[in-house]
Amino acid sequence: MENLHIDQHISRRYNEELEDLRNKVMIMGGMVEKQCKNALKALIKGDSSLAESVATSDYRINSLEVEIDAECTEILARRQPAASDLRMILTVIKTITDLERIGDEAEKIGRFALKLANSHEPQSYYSDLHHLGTHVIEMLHDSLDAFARMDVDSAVKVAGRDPEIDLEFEALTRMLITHMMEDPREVKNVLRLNWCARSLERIGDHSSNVCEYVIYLVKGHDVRHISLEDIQDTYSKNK
Amino acid sequence: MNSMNNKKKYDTDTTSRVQASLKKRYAREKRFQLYGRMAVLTGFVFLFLLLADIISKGTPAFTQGFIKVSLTLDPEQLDIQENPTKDDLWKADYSAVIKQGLRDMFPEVDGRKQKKQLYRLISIGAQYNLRDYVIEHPEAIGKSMQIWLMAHSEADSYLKGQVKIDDPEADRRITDNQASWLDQLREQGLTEKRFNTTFFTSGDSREPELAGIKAALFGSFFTLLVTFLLSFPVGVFAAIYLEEFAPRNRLTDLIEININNLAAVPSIVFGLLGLAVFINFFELPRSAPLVGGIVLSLMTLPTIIITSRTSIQSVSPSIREAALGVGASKLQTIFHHVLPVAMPGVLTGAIIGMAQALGESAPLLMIGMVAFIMDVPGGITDPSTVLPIQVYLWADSPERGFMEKTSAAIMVLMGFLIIMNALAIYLRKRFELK
Amino acid sequence: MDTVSMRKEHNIPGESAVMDKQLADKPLEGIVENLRECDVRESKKVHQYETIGKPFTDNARISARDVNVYYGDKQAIIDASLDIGSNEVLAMIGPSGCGKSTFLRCINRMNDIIPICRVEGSITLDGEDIYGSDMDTVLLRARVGMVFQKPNPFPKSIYENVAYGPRIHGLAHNKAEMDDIVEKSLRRASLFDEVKDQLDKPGTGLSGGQQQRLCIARAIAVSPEVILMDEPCSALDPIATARIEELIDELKEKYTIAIVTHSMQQAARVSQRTAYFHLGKIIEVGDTREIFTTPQHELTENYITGRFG
Repeated sequence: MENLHIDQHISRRYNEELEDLRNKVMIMGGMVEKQCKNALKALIKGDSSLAESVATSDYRINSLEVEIDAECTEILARRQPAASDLRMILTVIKTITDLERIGDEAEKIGRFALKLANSHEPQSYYSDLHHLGTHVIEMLHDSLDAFARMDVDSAVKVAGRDPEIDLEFEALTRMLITHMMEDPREVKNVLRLNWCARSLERIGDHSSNVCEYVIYLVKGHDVRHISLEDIQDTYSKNK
Repeated sequence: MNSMNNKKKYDTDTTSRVQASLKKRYAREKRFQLYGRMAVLTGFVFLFLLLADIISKGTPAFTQGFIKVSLTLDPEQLDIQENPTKDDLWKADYSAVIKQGLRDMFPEVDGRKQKKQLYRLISIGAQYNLRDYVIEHPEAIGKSMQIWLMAHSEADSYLKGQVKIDDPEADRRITDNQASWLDQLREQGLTEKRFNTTFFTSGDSREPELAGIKAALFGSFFTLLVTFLLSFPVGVFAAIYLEEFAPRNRLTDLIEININNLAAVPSIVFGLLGLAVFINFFELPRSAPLVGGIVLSLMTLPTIIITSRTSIQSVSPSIREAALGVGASKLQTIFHHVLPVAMPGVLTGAIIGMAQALGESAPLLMIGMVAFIMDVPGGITDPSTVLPIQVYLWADSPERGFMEKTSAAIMVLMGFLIIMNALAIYLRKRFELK
Repeated sequence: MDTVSMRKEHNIPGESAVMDKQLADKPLEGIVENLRECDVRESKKVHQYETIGKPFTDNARISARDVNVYYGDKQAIIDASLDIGSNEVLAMIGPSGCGKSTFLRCINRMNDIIPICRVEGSITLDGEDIYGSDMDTVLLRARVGMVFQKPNPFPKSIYENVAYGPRIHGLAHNKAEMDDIVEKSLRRASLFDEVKDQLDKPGTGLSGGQQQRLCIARAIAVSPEVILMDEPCSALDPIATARIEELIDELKEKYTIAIVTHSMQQAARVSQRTAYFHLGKIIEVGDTREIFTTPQHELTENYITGRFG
């Protein structure tokens, strides 16, 4: 289904409520995406003021999550949604949880960036980190895009990028371990970098979750904890 | 804020407009109510006048004047021997004794004409009362006694004050002599008014004071019995068939139209039918309640069918569905559920039909129930008459005494109608409460 | 031309769910080969639909196959095939006037009392053809009971209401047995405790919810095999409705129940299987859970989510 006719209820108010909900989620997604971009930039460039603003802005994402949750609860109580509307609400509830976690991870990166801001020199592995971060942010962006367009094919593709991210992360970790062994004085900072990389990898996982929710929303099939190959076999159009 | 002000403005506009028209509307309603009340009042006034007229004319009929006569049961006058048998007593000449007694009471009466007038103070039927008394008390033979005897209807009517003394004697049925004798008797306390049991215990008679409605009552009863037994089952079952079983096609439409029209046919036509078919062709006894009942049942059948159908139609289909849903057959549904619910309407229709039949006279005239019937009918094949026709016969008679009897009979007839309608209302209420 | 590009060309919404479900786990009943552009407002297009889902069950009590019902010239039910399984509650939902009640009333031949109604096709109860010449409608209606939309107790006493059915079918031989039947039925309908002291009071004196339970007791007094309910709660308040729904849940242990309802939430609450009717056709049948979370057909989806009437 290309679109789910969200807007065709007999009750116009209901249409507006659902539209409003989706917009809020998109806003939250936009905010989270911006946080991640800023956090990465602050980390790589060593921008301590940007890092500080990232670290202190998470509350806005959290309050948005609470607001959207309340709206979902109200729709559940008042409208007793069924079928696709029900799946939409459940998807929204789950998505914002993941988005909020992404926000938390971005906040963590921001705090680490703040600590690392003064004490780093450009190292070779920073470019790998930048690479990983860019991929992750792309993945986040595309997953939010798939949610907005309720595009299953796109969601499947985006979910398929998660293993690459994991591999990149593992490679980066190995590199960082090597550096730790080479230069024991920098262990603290390198560890911090490793944690940042882990946060980025987690952001990738959460984005992949959002894609699974999109598949559930459109197809009605709960694909969490199903192997990626099976998902691709079932839903990919490239056969 | 602005919108609230606008809202207020709109309200006052509407309110003031409504208020302006309110006065007119109330006035119109009051006028309408006034017309209604006046109409009802007028109706009541006329009803009251009618009832007052009938009751005032008819009430005197329920009392009968009696005159206390002193007489001697002289066996010679009675023309009986020693140790008379019952048969002898039956045939004895009591009127002679009465006449003798009257002469003794008014010794100044002289001359044949005057004596005749004197004798006319007492009813002809009094001799039979005396006879019955003597048969019961044969030991009184030979003795003097005083006995209350029924007054003649002319004398009775004078005693009741119905005769205008101021009219010239030729216009009156009571002569001056008679009037003065009656006054004398009254002053002496020898006159009395008693409840007129004869009215209810005897059949028709030439003499007004001896006439009663018992024959007509029984005649009406038997006729209505036949009518009810014929028209109620046939009517109700016909209604059930037409409503529940008959297919909806042109034929049943035709039947329905015909039934509706039959209800408007003049009743005398049914009388003609009864005469032609039942009396002439089937040779049923003329003037019998059997034929009368058949004719009247033909007349009330359309009424019963129509009211029963309406009642059955008005039973809610959900009851039928419920019964069918539990597994009742069509007949069980009808008799266990539909008919009990429709019963108030059916019964009301039946009783109204019977009340109509009770008051019918035209068709019965045609089949001959207009004869002069003295004997009370014992069964449905005995010749008889009915109350309305009795009223007609009495109204037609010249004797003054019958005038009050006519009104009295009308009162009895109306009494029955009221009872039947009350019964209808009671039955309907009882079935409705269930 | 393969199906993918054909779909793209005609820009048909809604069927990809169907097609993809095909590729998923269970096979579809009635393959949707001939889908055309479906404007749900055009009723003649409805003829081309096939019933989606699982209309048939293994241990069916009532089986309907290719049932067509006509009121004079107008066709009310089109090619309906459906099973009602033993000891389950099947809910029939759909917009007004789309044939649910008509279909329900075919099952106990209540449509026989409407002269212009004509039923074609086969409906069997435990394998016996309901419309066969040797099927006695009185017996059928004792085996298939019905509860109506508006509570309609007989204008008799409560005892008589329940006892009438067993009496005319000769199910009790003496008063003691009849008392037993009446008490059992009233207990099963959860009404006994409320009325046990007033069994001789008129049934019409009870409240709406009690009256409906009385009608249910009346229906089960003849020990039917199947109970049909035509919007039984539509005239009742929420509390009475909830009690009756609870009752339906208990009753399904013993009886097979088919219920027509306008309230989707009620259908979702009480039934195990749900059938969606649209303009006289059974569009989709399936487990209630699936129908209300992931309906396969777009019409079903639209109705359930309130997208059209």
